[in-house]
Amino acid sequence: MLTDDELFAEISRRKASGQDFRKQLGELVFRWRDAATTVIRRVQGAFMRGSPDDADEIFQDAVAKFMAKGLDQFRGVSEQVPGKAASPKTFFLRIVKHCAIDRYRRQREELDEGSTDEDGEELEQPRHEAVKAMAEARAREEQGEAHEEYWAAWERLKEEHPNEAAAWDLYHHQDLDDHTEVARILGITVVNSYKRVSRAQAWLKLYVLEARKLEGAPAHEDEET
Amino acid sequence: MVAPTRERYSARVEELESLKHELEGGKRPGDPGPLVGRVLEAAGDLLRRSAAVQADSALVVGVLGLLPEAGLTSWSDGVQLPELRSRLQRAASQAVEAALPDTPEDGERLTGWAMQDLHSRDRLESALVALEALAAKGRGDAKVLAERLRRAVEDVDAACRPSAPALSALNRHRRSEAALLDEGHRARAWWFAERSGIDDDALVRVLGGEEKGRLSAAEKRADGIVSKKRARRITWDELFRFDLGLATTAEAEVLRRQAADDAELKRVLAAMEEGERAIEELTKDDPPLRSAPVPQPVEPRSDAPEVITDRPEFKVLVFRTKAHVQVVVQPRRPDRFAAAAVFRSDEPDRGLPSRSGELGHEFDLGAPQAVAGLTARVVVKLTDGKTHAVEVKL
Repeated sequence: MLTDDELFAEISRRKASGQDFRKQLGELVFRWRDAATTVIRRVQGAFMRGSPDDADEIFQDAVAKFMAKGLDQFRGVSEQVPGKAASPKTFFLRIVKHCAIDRYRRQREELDEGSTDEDGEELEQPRHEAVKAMAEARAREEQGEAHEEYWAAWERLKEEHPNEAAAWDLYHHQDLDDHTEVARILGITVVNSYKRVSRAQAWLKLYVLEARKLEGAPAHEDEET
Repeated sequence: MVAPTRERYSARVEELESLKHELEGGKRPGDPGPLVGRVLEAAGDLLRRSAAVQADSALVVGVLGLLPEAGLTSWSDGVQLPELRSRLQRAASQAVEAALPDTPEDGERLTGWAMQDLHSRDRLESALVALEALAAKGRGDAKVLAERLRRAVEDVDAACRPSAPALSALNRHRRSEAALLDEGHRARAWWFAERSGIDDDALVRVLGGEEKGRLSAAEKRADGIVSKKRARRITWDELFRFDLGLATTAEAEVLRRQAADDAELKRVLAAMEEGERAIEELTKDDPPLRSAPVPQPVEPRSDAPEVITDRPEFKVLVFRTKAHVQVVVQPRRPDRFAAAAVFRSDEPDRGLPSRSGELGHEFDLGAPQAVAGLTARVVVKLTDGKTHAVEVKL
């Protein structure tokens, strides 16, 4: 029987030559299944959430992530920090750990959102309250739309202009509002920071406009106000 | 700026006469496609600027009639529409950098590059108009090719035209170009004409917050969306990179700041630590790796390079020795890397030759004293069609 190392080398070889490697990968991660379950339980303990049934789904999620981009990512990691993550098993268990964290983090966020919802009362409301509720619902919908548009533009900025995105992230998302501090963290000049934030802002707005146009926004939006 | 632009198009008459002699001169060896392309572009440039540039229409029509069918097909097959799309996207991106540059010199240079990319769309339009003129004279082969190409170009325009507001940063040059076009053609040439009014000149600077100015309802809406203060949720990938020690200083700082007042993120970091303890316990007795399952990177050269950019998909390095300045584009994700080209600022239209070396694609820029003061533009294309351009001071 091949060792973990040998099996992983075979998977890497198959992947590099464009051959199917799913069977070998399945065999390899199956060997690490018990270890993965232990990691999942420890994360559950830290969150004080979860049940033994979750382990299957988290494991499958981790395998999918490992297969989709983990193998390439592992290559990068083993090059950049060889001491820390040079073993594919350790690397896979870290993916498992993060899949578990992501699951319970999302569950908590959904619970938090759910606790502030007020639904199921609309039918019993008087008419003016129903109208108000509808207006509020519309505003929420518009806000949700704007929220999605903003984060889609942000993803594009990160991909196309990572330097400007890093400056905007600190200045705007972290509310730093101070170019001297942004410049210090990024190791650039204050003028650079100022310019990067300006460009980030312009690109983000242009991306929002572009996406809106591609979706066929109403013509009146082009009129000057 | 109009006069030099007009002169450039007036010179097309002479060029067309010379191309006519070449076509009449009989058989040329090799593929006729490039010659046909030059004829179509020159003829179309004149057809689209008939009011501004005096040209003998009999000459234009006559030369078009000489174009061989095989040459038309070869030229049409060689039209690279994904490349055109990338160029238009890059022009929009560089226009923003030109309006909000780090230095005034950067602004001038980026304006020049962005205009070059817009000209590539304009040249294709000229060729298409010439092809359509030939089709109108009854050439069935031209009709088929023109219809097919027009449809495909319309798809590129539909995808890129929404970025026209960014191009307003180039308005001084775009207006000069648009002014020379005949009215009908100007309406179609969105890359030169759309949002090219004086009122739009400062649009990008206004959107970037560097100037005050009027905005349309849509722009105001975008301004409101982007200006609203928002906290950002740390993503799976960021946490993972942080955990592996791969986060940049800025990413680590963002995480540290958020964790300081976000109880949920604190809990996530605690879970990360707990999971890590479990992994260490589970792997502490594993045998050390006997083989290197992943190919190791090539040893760096003794002359340490300057890292110009370091992206997940590729790196751009510059090696400077007494004899040579060399740019090396090093793919890090071969599945995402498609191609790289390098242009020196003194010859911005000529890509430098490359060869595959031990570290990646190597481009020799010349002796240090010969290239001092110049810049090189490194353009990397990814498999998804996106391009990234970086500038190297030589």
